[in-house]
Amino acid sequence: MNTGFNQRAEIALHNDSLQQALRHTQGKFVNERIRAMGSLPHGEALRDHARTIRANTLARLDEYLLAFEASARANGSHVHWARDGAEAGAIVCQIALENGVQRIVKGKSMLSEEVGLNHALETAGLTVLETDLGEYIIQISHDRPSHIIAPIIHKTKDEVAALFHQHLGTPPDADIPTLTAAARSALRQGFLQAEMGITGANFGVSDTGSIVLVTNEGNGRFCTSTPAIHVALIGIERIVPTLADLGVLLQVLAASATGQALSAYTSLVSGPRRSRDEDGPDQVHIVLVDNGRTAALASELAEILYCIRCGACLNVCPVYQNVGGHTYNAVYPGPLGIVVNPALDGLGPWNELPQASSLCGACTEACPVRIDIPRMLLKLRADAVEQGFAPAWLRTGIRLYAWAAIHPRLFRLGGRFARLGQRLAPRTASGWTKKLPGPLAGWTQARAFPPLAAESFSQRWQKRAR
Amino acid sequence: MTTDARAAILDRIRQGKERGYLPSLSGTTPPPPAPPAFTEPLAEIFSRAARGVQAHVHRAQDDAAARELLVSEFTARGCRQVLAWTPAQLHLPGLSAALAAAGIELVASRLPGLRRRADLEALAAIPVGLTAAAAGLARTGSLTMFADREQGRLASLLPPVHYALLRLEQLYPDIGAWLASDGVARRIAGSSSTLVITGPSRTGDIAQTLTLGAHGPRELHIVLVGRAL
Repeated sequence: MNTGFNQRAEIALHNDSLQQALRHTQGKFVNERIRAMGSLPHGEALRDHARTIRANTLARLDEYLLAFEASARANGSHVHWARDGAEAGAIVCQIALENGVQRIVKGKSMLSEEVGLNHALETAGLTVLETDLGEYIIQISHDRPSHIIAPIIHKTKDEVAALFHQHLGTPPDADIPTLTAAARSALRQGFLQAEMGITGANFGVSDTGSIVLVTNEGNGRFCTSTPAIHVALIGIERIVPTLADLGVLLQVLAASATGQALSAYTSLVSGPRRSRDEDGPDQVHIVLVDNGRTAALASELAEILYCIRCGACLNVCPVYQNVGGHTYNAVYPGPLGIVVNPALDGLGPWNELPQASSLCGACTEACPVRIDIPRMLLKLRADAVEQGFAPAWLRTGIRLYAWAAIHPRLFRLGGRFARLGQRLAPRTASGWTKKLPGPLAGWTQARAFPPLAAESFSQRWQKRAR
Repeated sequence: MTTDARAAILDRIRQGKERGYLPSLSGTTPPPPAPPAFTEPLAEIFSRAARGVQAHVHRAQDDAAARELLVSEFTARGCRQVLAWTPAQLHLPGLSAALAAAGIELVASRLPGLRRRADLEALAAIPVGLTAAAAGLARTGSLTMFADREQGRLASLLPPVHYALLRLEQLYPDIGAWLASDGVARRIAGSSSTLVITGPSRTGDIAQTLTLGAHGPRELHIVLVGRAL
């Protein structure tokens, strides 16, 4: 359930170390993205083109999925389909158990978080080691990612140093290179021992049947190279028809996510090792996961399926910038999360999220595929009222207001009362009301209310007319 | 289970499309927008971009210079073994003899079947990797390579230092031009692993501070072979 957004936001705003971590990192992300996009001579045209690619793909998604499946099978990959998270988990567990797997190394995958894969694997008695540095830190500190690209954006370097001192025996004041080296050698053992590697997938290419993985650390390459079995989870919407399309999306993804021209490693996995190959996995399994995506496709939120998960909208969002990812209490935080969580699961558990926005539109401006997030937010807010998630006083209040607004005498009387009340209420030095009464108190919980004009508009209009 | 799921998912996609919340389009995407052509030689663009992502770029005028460079680099590092593609795939005649004369052995990364831990541990001790490349991408300073016969993927992954040989005539303007070039689609579908490498392994996870050598090589050396016109 997702109640208590405001309470969590309050706590986050008073968490000094979180605020320090957010301040330190957010600006870097935003500036690097703007610089990287600007350095592409045809950056804006690429964004428009990327949007066209996503729109065209989703318009014929069934055909492209079937083409992807056929190409992947022709390469020797096994293709599985999962309606929901439970099915996805069961498929992966079955592959592991049938092959006598005990140790699993895993690359960063938001889809695996979404379907609760680690829990399913551990319940089946399997050992899972997260190998992305951020996800490894999340795993050993029993925490949750707070950003889809930078999972530990909420942790300061000192917190990581303290954690590694306890788990890996590094000095308590170790610097970042020392911490990274310690994780490298601890995780290297995991790569050499694991029988299975699990990854997500940034894209699947219909023409070639390839799974595309974009990483910087190289852990994704290890997960797809050293273990004998590779399992990739991919959302059904992440298909691209051709390699030409892929080239465009890779460039806008890298620039928007981390401000790079390309990420350090882009791997295209097209099936298991061929008999001529020296190394690589003997089996490749691809799990195509729905988990609410077809429901989103059939709704007014379908456009959120254009998303390529770069995280740019999180970085520019004034709400995310201040409250951090955990406040959303969801796998996907930020403007993306506000839309995608209800799109996948329905508004029930997420009915508070659409309020966590100022509708400033910074997300759409930053989005590499120009998704109109504010449009969908407004739709969700309207849905929340219709489905009875808005407080009763709001509906009554708006009805009362509408009634008063078409009865001029009553409206003027109300205005006079409000101006009188304002004079009696506690005010700031500049005359702003510190506390509103009744259900309006929420407004003044964290800010003051501007003073009403001494003269109403209709009074001024009458004077002017005279 | 998965057959039912497949039918159900495809069915729901078709129903969803009929609801009409997505713009109904022809489904054919025009060719991607082309960037303006480079006015500088590709080798210059490539070298600058590769250095910009913390790769080391060494220029060698010809094969002899490339051989000498590799022998002296490996000797200076004091390494006796190099995890490498086979000499035939490195396309640098005389290299293995020159290295052997300096007491350096090229080791292939053969990994047989499921029981691979012992083999992997032996390979993981080798300090330097050596590969060729299928192409260089100038705009991003990237290298591309395919896993194939005698071209193991581990040579560019396991050792902390990776040397890669690239020839001037293998340079393309950018990833779009390379993906669109002759035969590349067929190679990608036919190779179990296609890799685009842009600089050494890196992470920014701790305090968004760039740190090299997260899991893959912390040093990437590109030997660019050939005489610029």
